[in-house]
Amino acid sequence: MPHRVLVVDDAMFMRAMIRDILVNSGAYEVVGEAANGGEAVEQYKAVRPDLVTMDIVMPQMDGIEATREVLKVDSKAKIVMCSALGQEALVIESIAAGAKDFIVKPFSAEKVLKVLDSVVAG
Amino acid sequence: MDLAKYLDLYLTEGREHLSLMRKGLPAQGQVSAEGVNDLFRHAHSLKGMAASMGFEATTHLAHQLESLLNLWRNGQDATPEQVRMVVSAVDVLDSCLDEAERSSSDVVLGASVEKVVAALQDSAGVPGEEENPPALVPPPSSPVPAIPPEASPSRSRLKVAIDPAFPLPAARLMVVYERLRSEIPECVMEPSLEKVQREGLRAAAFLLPAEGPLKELARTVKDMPDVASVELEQAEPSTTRPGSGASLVQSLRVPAEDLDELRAMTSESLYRLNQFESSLSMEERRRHHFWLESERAHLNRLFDRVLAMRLVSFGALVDRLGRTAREVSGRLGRPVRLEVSGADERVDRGLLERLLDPLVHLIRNAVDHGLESVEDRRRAGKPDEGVLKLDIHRESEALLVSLEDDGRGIDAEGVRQAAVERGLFTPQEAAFLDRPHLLNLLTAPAFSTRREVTELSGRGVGLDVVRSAVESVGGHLEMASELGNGSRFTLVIPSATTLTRILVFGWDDSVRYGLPASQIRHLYSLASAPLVWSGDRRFLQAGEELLPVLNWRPGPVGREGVGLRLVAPDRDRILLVSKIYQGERVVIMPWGPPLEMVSEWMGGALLATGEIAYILDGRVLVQREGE
Repeated sequence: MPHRVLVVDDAMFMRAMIRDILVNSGAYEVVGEAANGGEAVEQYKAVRPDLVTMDIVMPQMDGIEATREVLKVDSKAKIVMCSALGQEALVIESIAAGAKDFIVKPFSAEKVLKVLDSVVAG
Repeated sequence: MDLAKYLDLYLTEGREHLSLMRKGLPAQGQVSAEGVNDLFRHAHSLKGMAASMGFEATTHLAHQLESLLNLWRNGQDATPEQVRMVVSAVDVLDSCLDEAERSSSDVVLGASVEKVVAALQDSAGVPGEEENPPALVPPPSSPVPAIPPEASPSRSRLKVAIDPAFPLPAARLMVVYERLRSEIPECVMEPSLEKVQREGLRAAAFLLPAEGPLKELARTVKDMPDVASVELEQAEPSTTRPGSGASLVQSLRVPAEDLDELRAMTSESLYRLNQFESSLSMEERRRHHFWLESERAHLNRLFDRVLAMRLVSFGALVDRLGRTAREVSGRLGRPVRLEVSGADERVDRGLLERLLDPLVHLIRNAVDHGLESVEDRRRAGKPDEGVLKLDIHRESEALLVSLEDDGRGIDAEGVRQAAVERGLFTPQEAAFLDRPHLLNLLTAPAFSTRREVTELSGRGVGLDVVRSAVESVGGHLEMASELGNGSRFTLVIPSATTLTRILVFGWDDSVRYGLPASQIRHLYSLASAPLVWSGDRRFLQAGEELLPVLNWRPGPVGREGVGLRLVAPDRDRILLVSKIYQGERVVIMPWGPPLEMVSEWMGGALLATGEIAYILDGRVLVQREGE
């Protein structure tokens, strides 16, 4: 049964890319999308995914705060941060806030799936 | 990955970002702090998309632009020359997008991009390498191990090196560290994560105990993404070092009072920041907006970390409670099974200590008085073994601890009768008592003589003790029961020790009230969302919905009032208020007696203005008015 994923990114472009990678793998399905932190929390409550991909830099509520808020809703949430190059400090902060892992743009399908598989297994 | 299909999306979104950037750059004058933030985000998003499409020149330029904007974000003034540079960079980015549309590549623009990049770097005055100022790497979330590795020869070392081509090695090592720590909490990373990040190291060693599933762990780590190599050095047998044998200190003992003081100091820093901000003019506040926000965020994180140090897993209580259950069960010859869920939930240490007594009481009562004798259970068709379910979980701003039993339940009607007999109510008054009230009566001191209570409810003394213990931490006790089937007691404890986001409002100018923002779904202005009567109840018309209005109100509300839509499990309710002030993050302090007995008040909070706000608990307001 495919794992259910909530995709959070303010760029439609990125969401489309991630969606395609997930759907083509056969092992994941996208059950919700959100364009900012606030929506991410609402969507999480509504669809209760197995996994969340979370962009870090977003308007209104950023990915790190959204991670905290989602973990308040579900302390077992598995959140994977999507970071652009050069954001190591923010990634580290995200993991300290409770994110389980991260992927780096530009994405390679293979890499993304490897990280998601690892989080699902862990 | 076939990128051609994303080209349209890339162009559309990319052009939107560029157009918004142009609008955000003034012909003259300064850009506001929020405006700079927006510019930064646009450049950042464009960079991410260009990188994903493989457009290197575009990515490179967007990155440089982002670095310059970041300097503005960090407080550096934007010189007119820099603004001009940004505008021309945006133009070049536009032509990169055009070129991408034409030929699906941006290589041909490489040279012009380089020129702009060089100009950007010059005008910034610094080569824009660091994207964000390196954040302080937070310490690991459980106590820091104190012994330096050389002093403990009986540890194994797992050496992990990250793929040289991977751009974020420290972050990757942190993920490995957290993974190892989830199995082995006392694992230590050497050198520290902070050092790894600071010095750009690509490998680290993880110290593990001598015994354990080490080979398996090594294999798991080897399989993790971007890990190039893993080497396990098994522990050597303990060499002779006098006194070092048994004392593997894995955590620091810190007096709880020290942590309390740390918490108070951090909380005060936050208040001072709020006070400082209040003292600024609107213009000054705007100018320093970004710095103020990031300072506040930083202090909030500091506060959260200090609180986290006091967190202990609820499982620490479970052993003790299990023992209590077994004691009483053995003494009475009643077989009992205790099922626990949520033992992983982490709770403030002080709170945990205060919960121990009430929970012990509840468990004793459940086994002694709640559960029937084995014969009675057989007669009722229940299995011999009684079941107690202990659960702890969080719901919005509160912690819920509940104990449920499948025993004889509470005879609510009997309670009603006894209340009349005892002269607490006249028969007419008693007729109006609904179920929750009747159950609540059992916690009143008047119902404390053992014999009578046992006959009625199967509950011994101690419920009033449980209730006052919960209310002393700002919470309340909820009871549910079904005659013959069992009862459930829930301790509802609001998060009084963390910062809660509240909305401040009031009914007149003299007193401020607050509600946790998480309890408010929406605000309605009475000017546009009218109130209607239906029977003898008032409702607020919110679009298609009719929401019941709470009767509770300390003052009159006129036509310019506001309706706060409170989240409720069945149907949201409306609280009418006269005026809305602001939103704030505050620490809610539970009241002392006698207000602590009145459960719709969560506590008080000190606002940035120095006033005290009386914080309500919307859940209780909703529950009180029933349906």
